[in-house]
Amino acid sequence: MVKDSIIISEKQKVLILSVLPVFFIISALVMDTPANILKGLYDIIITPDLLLTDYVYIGGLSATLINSGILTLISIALFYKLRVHITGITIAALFAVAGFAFFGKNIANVWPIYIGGYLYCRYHKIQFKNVVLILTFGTALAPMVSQLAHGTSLSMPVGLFLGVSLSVLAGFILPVLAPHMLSFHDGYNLYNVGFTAGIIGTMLTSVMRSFGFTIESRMILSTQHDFYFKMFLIGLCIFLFVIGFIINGNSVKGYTNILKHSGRLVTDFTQLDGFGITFMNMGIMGLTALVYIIISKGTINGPIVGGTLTCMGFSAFGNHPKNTIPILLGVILATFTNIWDISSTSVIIGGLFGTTLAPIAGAYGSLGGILAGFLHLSVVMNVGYLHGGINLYNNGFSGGIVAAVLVPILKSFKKDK
Amino acid sequence: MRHEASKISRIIDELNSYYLNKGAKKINISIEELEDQYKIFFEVCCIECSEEELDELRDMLNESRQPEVEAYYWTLTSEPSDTENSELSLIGMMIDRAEIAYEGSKLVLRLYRNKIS
Repeated sequence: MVKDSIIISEKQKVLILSVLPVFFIISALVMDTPANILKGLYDIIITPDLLLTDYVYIGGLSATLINSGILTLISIALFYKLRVHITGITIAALFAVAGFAFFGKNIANVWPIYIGGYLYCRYHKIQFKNVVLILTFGTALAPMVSQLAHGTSLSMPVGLFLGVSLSVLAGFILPVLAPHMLSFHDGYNLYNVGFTAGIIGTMLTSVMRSFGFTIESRMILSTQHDFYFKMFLIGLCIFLFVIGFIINGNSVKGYTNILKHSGRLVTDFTQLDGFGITFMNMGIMGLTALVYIIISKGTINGPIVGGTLTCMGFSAFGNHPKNTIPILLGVILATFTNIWDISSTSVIIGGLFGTTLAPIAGAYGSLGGILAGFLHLSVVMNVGYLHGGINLYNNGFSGGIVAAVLVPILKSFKKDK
Repeated sequence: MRHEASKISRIIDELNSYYLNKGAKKINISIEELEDQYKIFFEVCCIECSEEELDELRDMLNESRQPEVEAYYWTLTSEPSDTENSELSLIGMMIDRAEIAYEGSKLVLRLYRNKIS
């Protein structure tokens, strides 16, 4: 099982994972004045942040980095305090928080979800620790607060009260629904909470629309920090690879073992192959994502950073080059035949987050993966309307639908041993 | 923990599938509820596991208990799957200890699952 040459303690794991948010905070403080950062943070908090709202455009780069850094550090502290093991799923959750804090999650709008989950634990007399992972992913529904408080014709206090109440309700039902929804796609959609949040978001948006509210997705994107983001992501990938290389005894020995896993939930690389191999895989997958972005001629902005970080995080819990590249190829192929522009942010994040379907390629081969990626792009471009952008994990929603349809069909072609 | 009975049934189901896929001809199971834990006992006849396979099974089932992973993913256990062994490590995260050994020609497996809130 765990084959690390150097055994790292929980504290050392926490320190390694803290490097990313600490780097964000330091670089923001170096680049900008505290007054500017505070103003940017205020702008981020008061903006309705439905998909796609790039915080880098709204509040500036430094305020976005501070937002991501603080949220990620709080999540790390919460896990540490609750004694949640640092494993593949924890790493995936932390990178998802860091990534989505570039476009939708902020230091103000995520807490009602946690409060709802806490109330659920009090109601059932269970430990908060048991549901904290579901809730961390469940902050995908955070835009509900900002949208109702600042994005409707309601007065701010009324909208805020309604948004907070609905978010608390969402947090209360997520621990029930998330495990239940797994059976829909049978573990072939890595972003299961995204699918769950998509269902909840669709119901809430439908109800709100029936009362006359207007909830429409938006497209606010920055373009001026492409070079910074490229350098940052390359640096992060190299850092993770080197740390993994050292933990693995200054060797890449055993890396090919990771490629043998299908990636279907639950495939925790930290438990199966060790932290050294896992960190190296995260670095390699980050570079793979960057190559995909460069091939697509994309300009890196907040959502694309979010997609890359999330893909890297799930490279501790299911994604590896062999099961992920076919999905990216399927998305690229779809842009040649469909109406979508390969260099647009929507398509690029459709590919990055489309890697939620990597277990299909892992279980049914590259052709299955290419087909999944191809279908995913079409579905993800359409399902956003259903929840109006309230669910940040739109690709997880789409991934659940694609997996639920495609997996039984692919399974029917597979012969019994 | 909620859904305790369902979780124990699924643990048993997952391991039964594993044994049957390995060619088991007879499986005896007993479940015992104690004050602070559940004991699940399997005795499997006519199953051939290499030392390597036994080590792999032992490693997966002895992963550290992770209630947070269990609360999220327990419904995936005992689902039919085309991927090999993937939920055995999840079973490992749902129990506290596993003992596996051949006793004569029978493979004997003892699982211990502590009661927690």
